Amino acid sequence: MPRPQRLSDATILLLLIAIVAVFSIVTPAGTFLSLSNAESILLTASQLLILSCGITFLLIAGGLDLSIGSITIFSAVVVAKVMGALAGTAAQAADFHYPNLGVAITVAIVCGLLVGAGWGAVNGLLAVKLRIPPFIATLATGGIVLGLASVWTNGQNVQNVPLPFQSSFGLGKLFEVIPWSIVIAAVVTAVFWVVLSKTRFGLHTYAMGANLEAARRAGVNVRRHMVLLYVGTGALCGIVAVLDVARFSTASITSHSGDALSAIAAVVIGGTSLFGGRGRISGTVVGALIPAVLQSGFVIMDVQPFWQNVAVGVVLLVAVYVDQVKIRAQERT
Amino acid sequence: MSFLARTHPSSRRNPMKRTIPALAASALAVCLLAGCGGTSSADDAGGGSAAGKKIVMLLNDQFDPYYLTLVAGAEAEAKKQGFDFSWQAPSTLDVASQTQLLQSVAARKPDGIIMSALDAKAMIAPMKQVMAQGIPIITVDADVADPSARLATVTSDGEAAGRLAAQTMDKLLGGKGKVAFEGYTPGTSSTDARLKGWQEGLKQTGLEYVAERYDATDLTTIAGTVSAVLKRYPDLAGIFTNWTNPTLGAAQAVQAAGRSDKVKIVGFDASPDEVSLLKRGLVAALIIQKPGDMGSRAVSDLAAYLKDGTKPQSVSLDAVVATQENINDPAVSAYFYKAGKK
Repeated sequence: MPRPQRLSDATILLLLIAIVAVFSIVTPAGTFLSLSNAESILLTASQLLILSCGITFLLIAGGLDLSIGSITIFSAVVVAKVMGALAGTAAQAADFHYPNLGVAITVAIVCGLLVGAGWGAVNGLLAVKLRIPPFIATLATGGIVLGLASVWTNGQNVQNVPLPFQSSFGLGKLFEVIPWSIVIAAVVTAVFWVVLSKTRFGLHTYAMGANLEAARRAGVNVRRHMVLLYVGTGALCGIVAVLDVARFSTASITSHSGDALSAIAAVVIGGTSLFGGRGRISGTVVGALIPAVLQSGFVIMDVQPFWQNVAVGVVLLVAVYVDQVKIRAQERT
Repeated sequence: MSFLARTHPSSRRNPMKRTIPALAASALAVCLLAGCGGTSSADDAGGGSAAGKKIVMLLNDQFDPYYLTLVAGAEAEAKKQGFDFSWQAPSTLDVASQTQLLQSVAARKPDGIIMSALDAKAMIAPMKQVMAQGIPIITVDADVADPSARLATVTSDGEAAGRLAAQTMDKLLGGKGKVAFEGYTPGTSSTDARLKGWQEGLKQTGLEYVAERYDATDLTTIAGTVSAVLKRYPDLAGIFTNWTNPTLGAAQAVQAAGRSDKVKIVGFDASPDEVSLLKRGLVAALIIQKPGDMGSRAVSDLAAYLKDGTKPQSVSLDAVVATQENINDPAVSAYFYKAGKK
């Protein structure tokens, strides 16, 4: 079984450090290189990072999920609707008064996670039971899920999210220092990191991507494992949905449309192979930070916004090329 | 056994390979699925020569509250006139899909079409073709460059609205300070016009225009951009946004930076969450066009034409400014976009 390699982690980390260094030099002092800007960058990257953790597992195991943006939107609609409906009557909400706030928030979060996991299960069953290639299965569910969310909301942002959810959680910080979105992204990343690198579950994930048949013969329940990966990725969409509703106090149908491709790009930039079997969460962390760093740096430099897309594309190409070179080198030995 | 398009270890190098040919077919299927529309039959409406006449509206976007309010206005008027009204939106926003949609709608021989032209030049030829079949077209929101390609147009003057935004910002800031813009990626005529008006309007003021940024629709991305702009200009005094999502994203970023009392946001559109931000003082003003009026005007023009051939006058509707002071004034609040109803 090919082990994850350290080379691309180091390469991509060096690249991130180089980008940060360049931006720090060319921007006015105290703008790009400052604690508060680091906080903004992490806040922007936090949602992508959470989704990318799920995609890392899926790609390593030989799966794929193009529906994560749509599942996030659908879950966000569920969270916003449930929270708005349970917190109080429309008249009370109009006065910003919410008698059942605690219950509403708890139930809404649970519903959001369950719905996300549920759509993940649908993806898993389509890929495993019906044997539809995940590329197609999740492309289709992505369209279906987004379509259903649009039909449900009539295409409009969901209103009446209780304001305290935004003021205390969405804008709130742990110990008044670190925004909750960043804390949650860090916890999720840590958990996925440990599971992937230290547990039997992580080992099985690598084994499946490296050689599915061998993993099956070695006794791994590959079908159940793959379904679980999709369920987990769906649940992560639920978490992102909760964070999204908390930050913006609404569920926007038009957000997250590019999430699936952004997450795949981040994961691949981080050294995970698109062909399965190799990858690490540490690389994914770096890969998910790069777009947010480029965005912040380019805006502060007053560079034309479109250059950010160009830069991310170039980084992606370089990362995949390095990956291909490594695979070829491996096959020669 | 294999559920991943891989049966043998030797084929493990490229699981994607087999899925590629299926991609085109599937993308097509999703596009078809994603295409959207709605109908409302008006069988119960009585009398009038318009009764039972079929009109179809082509919409640019099925999500933007601005367009949904436009449909709502048209639909209400159509019901009053006794039209059989339906609307369609293309699954992707490009000239090719709008042309295709227009042709397939025209093939069903409606009595009239109301549409927003996605491109002022490229849509001329396909629209002329439909007009030549005897189906009258009225453009709403976005017109074409050649007046003979449609019967009339009802637009909302986006440039004037953009100039109004600049004047409003000037008033809010007392004539001085640094201002920035965050809005929709250029290439859509309605939002482009607002930006152009804002740029022109600013020249008449003493405000310093320091940053102009664009993003697509994602709220997180928008908030990230505005956060960086706030970082770059610690003394920024105002931000103008040219549609709903940047208004929401900018308000979030300004709040997160703890600068709600220093940075005035002049937003655009009047979706319910924007109105809520205005009520709470997190947005200083909203520039509101009148999409509902636009929709109903287009339908009543079409009704008059179908009745006795009256050629409608093209009009351009103005915009209103909502602030915390006039938020309860019915003359203003009447233009807040309707939530959740078609």
